[in-house]
Amino acid sequence: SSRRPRESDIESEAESDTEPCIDSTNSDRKVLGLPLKGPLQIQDVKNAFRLSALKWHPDKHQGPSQVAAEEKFKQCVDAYKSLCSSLSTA
Amino acid sequence: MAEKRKREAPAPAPAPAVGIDLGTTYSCVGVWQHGRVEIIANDQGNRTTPSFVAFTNTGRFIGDAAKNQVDMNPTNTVFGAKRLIGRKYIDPSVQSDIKHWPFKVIPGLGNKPMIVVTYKGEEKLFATEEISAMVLAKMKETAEAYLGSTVKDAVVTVPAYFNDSQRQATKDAGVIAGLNVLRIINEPTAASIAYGLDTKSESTGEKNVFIFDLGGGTFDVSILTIEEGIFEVKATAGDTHLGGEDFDNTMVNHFVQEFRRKNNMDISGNPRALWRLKTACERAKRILSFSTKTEIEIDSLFQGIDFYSTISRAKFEELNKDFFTKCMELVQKCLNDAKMDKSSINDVVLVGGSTRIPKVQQLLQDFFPGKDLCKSINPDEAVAYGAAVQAAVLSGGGQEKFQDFVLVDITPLSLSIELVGEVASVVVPKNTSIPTKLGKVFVTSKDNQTVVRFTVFEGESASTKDNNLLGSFNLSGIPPAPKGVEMFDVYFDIDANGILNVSAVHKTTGQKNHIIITNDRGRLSKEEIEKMVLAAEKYKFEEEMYKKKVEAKNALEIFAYRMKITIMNEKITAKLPPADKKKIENAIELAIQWLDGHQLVEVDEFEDQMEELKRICKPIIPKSYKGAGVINDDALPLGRSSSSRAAPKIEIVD
Repeated sequence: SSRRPRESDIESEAESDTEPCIDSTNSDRKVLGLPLKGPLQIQDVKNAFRLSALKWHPDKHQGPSQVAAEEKFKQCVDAYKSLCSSLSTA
Repeated sequence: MAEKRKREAPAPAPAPAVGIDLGTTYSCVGVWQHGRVEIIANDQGNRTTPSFVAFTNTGRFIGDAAKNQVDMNPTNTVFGAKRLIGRKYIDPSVQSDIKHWPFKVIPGLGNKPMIVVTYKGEEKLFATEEISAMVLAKMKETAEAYLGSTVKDAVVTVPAYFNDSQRQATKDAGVIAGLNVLRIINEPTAASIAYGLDTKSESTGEKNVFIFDLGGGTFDVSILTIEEGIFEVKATAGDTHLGGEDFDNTMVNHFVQEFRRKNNMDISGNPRALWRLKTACERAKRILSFSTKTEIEIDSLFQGIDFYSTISRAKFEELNKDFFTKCMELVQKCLNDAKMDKSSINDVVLVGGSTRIPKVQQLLQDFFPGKDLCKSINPDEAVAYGAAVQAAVLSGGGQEKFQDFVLVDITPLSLSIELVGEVASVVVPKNTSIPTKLGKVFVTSKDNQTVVRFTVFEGESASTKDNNLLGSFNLSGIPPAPKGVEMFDVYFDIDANGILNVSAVHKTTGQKNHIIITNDRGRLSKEEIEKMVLAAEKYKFEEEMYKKKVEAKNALEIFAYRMKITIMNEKITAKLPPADKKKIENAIELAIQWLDGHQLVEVDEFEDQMEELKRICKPIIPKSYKGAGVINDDALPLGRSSSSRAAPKIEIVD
């Protein structure tokens, strides 16, 4: 096509990453500061994410701590997403 | 709530960061000051400013002054730039808008729409970013006049459903206007801040809030969860081309047809007639928000024919029913995306001027039964209000107050990598919280492939040809292998400003490459922006020069007329020898005649005339005049506004 110099030439790997395993749930809990064991309510996850946002959102950090905070926040978003989806499909 | 009084800093503090709502039809600016948001009125005393820029033989006008002269100058008055920004000339919405606009738009380089106007007798081409920059500069000036210092930093809002090109172009407009854009934020999100702070004291616990933002040109819906000071956007949907302008246009089309039926004449080729009809329709639309019927009356609309008609609220609703249906479909879509039932929404908040339309309110009320529509925030100012709060947060102003405040926004559109056959493979789904970093694994599609190309798109279509191209990059040096063997980790990294960095790493060799999506074709280059910044400064300088000329001319005019009255006062002239009196009278007459023949000459010429007249009139000049500015003299019988022969600028403004 004229829009792009060349056709695309990659494929997506077979989607196999949808099953959440125990290990990742554990690390997700840890990232959000949730108890590593025991039953989890969606509300607990939401609350934990919001507290993390207050702590790690880059807007809450001016200066040199901002980059590290942003990385941390991204992990929180990731953990939040996967915990929410595993709780809603469970 | 008692505010802590802060001690004033000894040195004059730099101006605080402002929040600007850059609207399709109106713009608004606010600032966080003394623990609250102040929405700033412009030089006309209005808290919103028309997003209009006019070009004439004498100068350039922005805002109210521009909107007030469209009648006389329809082809050189530009408005609705937001409907063009970041779009291509061939875009169907651009093509349809052009048909409704009295000003000319042509395709420029890379299919960028360019606006053509006649300015000071010369044909000029402007990029949309430049027009938006002029509106932003006007808002900046408005804030500066209020704050008394130079404004540098600003948060500028865009519709939540704006794509990357539209956002980048808006940011460029900010740069051209001489602003440091701290962040581009989403309009419904900004409005939610206004709502959240407004209701903070009266409620605790989690609240799901539905923002319905129907403005002059764009429509957004957003669902947020607000708890204490934490604002989490859950989902957003919208149409970047749906708003009050469209409702006006359907009415205009309706009346153009009626005129054709009644008079067998087509007015659609006459910009002035169309503009007058549009103005009448806009007024009728506003009236129909509180009345069920109204009249349209335009004297001598076309070829001396007067146009009289009526329109009912029911007819207005019927003409626009497709738009209203579209709005409600997007309301449902947003709920679906947020995976929420409408019963879980606690509050429905109305934002944007078009939410005053009774039908819109009724449809929403029916959709959310038993829920009061929240109208406590000002629909015209809420977005600027929220932007001002975010500006204070980002610039570190009012830190104590915002200790518990954080805003977690989302990406409105899915971000994907193109696969073989123009298939979009989503890496970041829409409505993902940002900042974020998400990854996906890709493989080669051909045997012995040594170079792979990663092309990044934004949009919801499964096929990339219907999505918005953001950019692409190659990764080379891949060892030859059968297809599907070589693997790549691709990461999409979005920062809080929405800047996307896409990187790819070859798993076995560790070869990597990346692209920061900031500069796509269609976007202005750094050099172009620099040129436009210089041009904007030049226009501003010319405008200031023009203003000085008008002021110098007015000063002379007022002085001459003042002297003319003084010389007629016998109490003052009694002691004057008749010859001197005659001399003064002559000088005054000469000055008035000279003014008639010299409408706009250089400032020094006016000043020279003034000096000469002052010298001759010295014996009759009251003491209060000496050394004092002419304009500000309270004793003057002729005020600024009563100057009958004011230059065009003054006439327009008055």
